[in-house]
Amino acid sequence: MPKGGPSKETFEKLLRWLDSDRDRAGEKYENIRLRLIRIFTCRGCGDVEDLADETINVVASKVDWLIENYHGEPALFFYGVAKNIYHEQYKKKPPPPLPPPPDVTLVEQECGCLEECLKQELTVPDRQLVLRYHEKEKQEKIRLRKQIAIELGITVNALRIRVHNIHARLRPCIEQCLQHLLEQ
Amino acid sequence: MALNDHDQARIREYLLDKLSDDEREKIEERLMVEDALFEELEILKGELVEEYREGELTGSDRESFEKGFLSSQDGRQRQLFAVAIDTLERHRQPQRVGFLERVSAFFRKPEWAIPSVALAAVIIAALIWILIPQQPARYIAVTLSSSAATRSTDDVSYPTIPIPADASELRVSLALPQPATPNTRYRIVLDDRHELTSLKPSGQDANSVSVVIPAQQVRPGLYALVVYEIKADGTERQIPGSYKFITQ
Repeated sequence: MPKGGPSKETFEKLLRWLDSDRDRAGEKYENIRLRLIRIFTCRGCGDVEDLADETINVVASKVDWLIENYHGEPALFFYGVAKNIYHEQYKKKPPPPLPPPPDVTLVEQECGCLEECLKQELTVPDRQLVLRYHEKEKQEKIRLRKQIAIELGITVNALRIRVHNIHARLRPCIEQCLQHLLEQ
Repeated sequence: MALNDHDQARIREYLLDKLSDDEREKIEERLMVEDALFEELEILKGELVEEYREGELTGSDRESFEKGFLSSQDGRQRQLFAVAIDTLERHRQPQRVGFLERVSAFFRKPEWAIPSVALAAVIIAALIWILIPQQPARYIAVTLSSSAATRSTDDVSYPTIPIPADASELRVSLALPQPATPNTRYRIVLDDRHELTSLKPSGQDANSVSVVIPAQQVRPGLYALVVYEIKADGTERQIPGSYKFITQ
């Protein structure tokens, strides 16, 4: 539930509006929240989680009206509110500054932790795939990835998706190893 | 809704802040409800970070990316993740596993799985030992057939080639599944399951192409040779199948 947000009762109404099944409603809620965060991020906003929560609070405050009158896709209503919040409030703030690029030496120092992530989170074939996928640069990289796709008997796009899913499994562990660098 | 090339291009433009307000809102509405498009957004973020780090994003694209996505917490995390993957890739050691472990891992790998009906037929020419008077050089010569050329209902058994410690090279003649067309050249790639090495053919005729592999490049393990034909117009095509073998 967003902080400083709706009452428990209002929040439950909001979930019921999303879906009559509470588990599915919870998933839809998280899905919508994540997408709002991503959209605020792509718009260059700094406090994206707060903006997403503010959006949800505004929608929750209208839930009685929505239940009676709104017949469209709920996610699009959230988006409409998010746009207004962006225009009214955030556009007045300057964008956050570009942070310095990551210090490669500091990341190198965490190599042991990173290796552990590879071993813990990925099977041997996935480990080999993800490292091989990132081996080359520029045109050589493109050729290698086409080659890998041929070897696996899949399209290049399917290979992109497979590697993306491997990244998703790996990312939380790696971010934990490098948390202190993110906090700098 | 399935994605098309236009969608992928649109998402890229969205991340580089190249869309008009209207276009941006249309994409964002779709991002709220279309899973495949949202997944493409997440994938493209990583790819753009790669391009940025490799210096392939230039000019206004680079500037927009820096002002937009890269300035965010998500952008910073993605950059760190990219550096982490590069670090792991640089530190990757050749897999030091025993021969039996490599064989076992080989059979578990889907693209190397022994087909139930097809197998690679083995034709191994006689082992030739030559002693050159001033500079003794031993080599092993074999002939291999493509996995696409022969099939059998029996279990696959790849040719096993013993390479003595004093052998300097492995000379392989690869039987082409189809006769070579005139003016066709070839390129050969050695796959040791860790990396691909391009090899220049040492010779060719109407029915085969040959390659010489230094012995130190084929330490005990499983390998495959893949042949590409390069036509007169410069286009390349992989010859179906591969030539798999085990060295001891």
